[in-house]
Amino acid sequence: MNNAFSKFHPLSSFIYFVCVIGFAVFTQHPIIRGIGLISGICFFILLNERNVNKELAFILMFFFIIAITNPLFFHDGKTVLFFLHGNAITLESIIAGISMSVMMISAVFWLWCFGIIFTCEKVMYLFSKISPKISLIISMIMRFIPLLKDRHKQTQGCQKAMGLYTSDKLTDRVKSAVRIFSILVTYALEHSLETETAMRARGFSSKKRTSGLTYSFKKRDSLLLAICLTLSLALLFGAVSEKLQFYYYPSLSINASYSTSVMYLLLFFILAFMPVFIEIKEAAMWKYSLSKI
Amino acid sequence: MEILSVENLSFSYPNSKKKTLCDINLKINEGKLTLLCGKTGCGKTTLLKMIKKELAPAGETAGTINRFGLDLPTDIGFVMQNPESQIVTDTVSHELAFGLENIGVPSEEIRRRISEISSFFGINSIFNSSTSEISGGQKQLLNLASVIVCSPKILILDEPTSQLDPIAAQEFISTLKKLNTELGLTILLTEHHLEDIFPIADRVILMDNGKIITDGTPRESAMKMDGDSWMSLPTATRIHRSIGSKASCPLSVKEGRQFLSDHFKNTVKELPKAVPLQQSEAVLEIKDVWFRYTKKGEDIIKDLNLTVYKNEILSIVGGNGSGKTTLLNLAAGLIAPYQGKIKLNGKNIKDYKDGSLYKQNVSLLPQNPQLVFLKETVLEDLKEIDPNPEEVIHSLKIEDILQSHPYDLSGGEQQKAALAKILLLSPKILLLDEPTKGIDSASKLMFSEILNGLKENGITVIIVTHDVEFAAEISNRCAMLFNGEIISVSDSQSFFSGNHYYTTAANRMSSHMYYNAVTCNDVIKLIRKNEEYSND
Amino acid sequence: MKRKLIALAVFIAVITGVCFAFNFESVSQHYAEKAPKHTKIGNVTISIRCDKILEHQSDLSKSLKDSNVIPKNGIILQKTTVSLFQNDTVYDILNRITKERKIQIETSGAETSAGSTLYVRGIDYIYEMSCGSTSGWIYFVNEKKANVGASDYCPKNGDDILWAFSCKENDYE
Repeated sequence: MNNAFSKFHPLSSFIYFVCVIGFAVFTQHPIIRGIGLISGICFFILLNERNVNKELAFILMFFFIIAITNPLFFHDGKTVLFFLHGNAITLESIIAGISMSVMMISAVFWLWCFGIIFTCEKVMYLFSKISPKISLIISMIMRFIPLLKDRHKQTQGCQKAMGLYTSDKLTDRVKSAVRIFSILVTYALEHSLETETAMRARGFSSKKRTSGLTYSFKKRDSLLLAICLTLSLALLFGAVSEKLQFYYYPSLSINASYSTSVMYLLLFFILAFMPVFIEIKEAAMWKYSLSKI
Repeated sequence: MEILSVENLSFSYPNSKKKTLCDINLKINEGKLTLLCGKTGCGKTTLLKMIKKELAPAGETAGTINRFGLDLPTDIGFVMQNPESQIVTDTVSHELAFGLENIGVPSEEIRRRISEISSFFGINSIFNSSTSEISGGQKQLLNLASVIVCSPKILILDEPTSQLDPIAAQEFISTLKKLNTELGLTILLTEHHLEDIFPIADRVILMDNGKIITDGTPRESAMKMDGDSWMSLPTATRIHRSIGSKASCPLSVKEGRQFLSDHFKNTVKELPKAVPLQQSEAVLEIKDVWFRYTKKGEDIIKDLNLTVYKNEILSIVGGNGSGKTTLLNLAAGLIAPYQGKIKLNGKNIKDYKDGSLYKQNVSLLPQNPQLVFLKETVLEDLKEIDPNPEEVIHSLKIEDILQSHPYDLSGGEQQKAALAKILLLSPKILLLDEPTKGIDSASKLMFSEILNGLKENGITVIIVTHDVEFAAEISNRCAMLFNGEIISVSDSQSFFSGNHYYTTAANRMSSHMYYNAVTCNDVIKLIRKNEEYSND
Repeated sequence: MKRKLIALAVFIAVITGVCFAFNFESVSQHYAEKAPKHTKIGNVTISIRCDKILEHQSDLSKSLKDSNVIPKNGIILQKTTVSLFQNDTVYDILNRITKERKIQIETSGAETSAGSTLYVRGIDYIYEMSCGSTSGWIYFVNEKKANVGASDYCPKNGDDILWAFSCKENDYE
């Protein structure tokens, strides 16, 4: 993980993600959604963890399904393009569909970015701030699932090698699955008893716990948090006073004057592109410091 | 200085008339490594659990245990047998922090202490791994590290290496030695296989039937151990005891070599070569087999050729990750090679349809015998295969464990019960994956007797194992698997006497004097021969 | 990747196929007058009103309030006399007059089947639930609320049909 944004304190980056995804998803404004999508894609490419091409087909499919189905089911809107089966297909409905799919895809990209930045450890850290117990329980579950999966696979192989219930008949397959499931339950109980002993041996009790996960909160973290919160509050004010309102039906319209709209869009642009700026700045600084060697 | 003392301790479990512990008196001094041994069921584990307050079983207790300055729950560290079930959390780093979190150490200090301990244990490379992706040996080292990170004043271990392969076990024991000598940590442990731990112990206590019967230095105790516990002694010590030497008792290979050179002659340098088994018909032929798990993965098995003959016991030895288990799964038809042929009784393994491969043909006993059982009692499990399992029950002598839940049995009993279930399938070829893992020396001996019996009955046995001592005892031929290829195959005597490092302790100890002594008995025979020769 | 692209192509083909399988009309075709299928049997009057919205301005959705689609007097169609053909239902009459006057309507449910579930969702961009959660279009024949769907009611010669946007229950009774 060689990206600048993941070096921020989990708390400030978590709040940042909540703000951006919140605005990109809950506002109706197509341009805000568009900014959300483009910034999400840019950020994702900069994080450079996965190849976007791979997901392209899936994304296009998603896009078409939503963009096409919306006008098929909603016939509201003043600008009728043609009639299908007696129902109007309108420009407004098509734009609303596209806007909705843009919103959903931007949410997908931002959540992918979130997944890259938020390693298991960071999520655990955030939970441990709320309650160290919850984070322990999550951690224990995360430990248990692969263990059980492994055990299931091994048992299956072993039973197959004994020739028990291995034909392709459905009844055999169901029986085999039930048998293996019941022994897995026994194993899980047995295992958790032993684990409980081990936990007690290591001083576990219901008394107060601490968490070993720490991240130091630096100046840059407070700066990110401050900028993010200021922009979000301004945007929230805009949303509450309905300056960010956008109507698709019966005709496309906004609820604010042109200049106010532009101001709010600019605020969201800064908010959404912040990680992109940070990544580019860090990369530039890295190159600069390399050039001095 | 005393850190722990047990005075007149007696204990019995509820609803049991027999005393599990009977009048135990024990003083543990600071900085000593104390080894507690005795056969399965002698009360070792109960004693250890009584010492660790949090784990003390419920039952009738008499006598006292004095713990000096051991107030925090983490002051007594405890490591158990099964590496898997002691791991609580999902990542290595969190696992290390778990104990410290329990006693409320501040976050920053936890961070510092876990990084320190990870350097000491040399587990930095797995620090960020998930606990499900590390090997069994690493898991047990992690369990040890996450106990040590809480800086215990005394460390208690209950058969910590029994589930590990010999190489991982050696690494674990050398870590214990490092803890004891470099940090002066007091250690109290039980162990079945004493080859590696015996020489480094300060004191050895032998228990039987809930009583301490011997207590002294390893050399003193070694002279007093008999019966089942004798078998678990280091090779050098066993040889010394068998020939009834009056010299000081050797404990390690190094001392054993010295002992042989000092006291014996090597006029006769080798035993007569074992008569090779008549290589009758081939039952399993593996020809030019290649295998990999995923399309783009690495080849696990590379151009492997191996022929197994009827009525032989073939051992395949090799290190971790050499592809042993994969090879066994290939032979059992659980996975298929992408190139090459596997023929069973002259018929391609692919042509056995609808499970006919497993009916009176090939059977596989997996590394973990627990996987074989699916029912509430052993008897039910056996009856699933054959409604009349009496014959097999009788021949394996498992009458008294039939009504138990398979998970409640000891390692050796589980292994036998699993073998019983497999034998009911009346296989002609038996595939065994690490059959000696987690069982004590007595069970091991019984197991090899059973295998020899099976061989007499015309069953071909293929074993993959880390346990070179066992392979040397039991097999007709041995094969070395390295990096997915069979490097060498020959009869076990010439196989092990040809190796310099990957060989039995008896061979390592005697190779400077005798050419082909591979097992303890071989060395003893040669010593006797030389004595006879010089007496003549 | 290749498989995904093929799946995408198939998907688009299916969608286009579905589009063509349906009756596809341009705007002018849609509003063009079509010859009646049945013989004329008389006349009825029809009016469309949404005047109750004016009393419930606070409930009206923001998008409608801003878009100036609500007529100032609350009348979308003044009382108009239209021809009644054989087998005509209230819905047929509404459909014909709105097409003639180019008033937008949207319905849901099947259009032709007997005992249909056909249901008028919106007229002139005013949709159900756009002025309070119980608001929607209902119709009256001779000032009486009918108990059956608009495509199941065959009016008689001289009947008076009213389509009204109700904001609260029984506000037109």
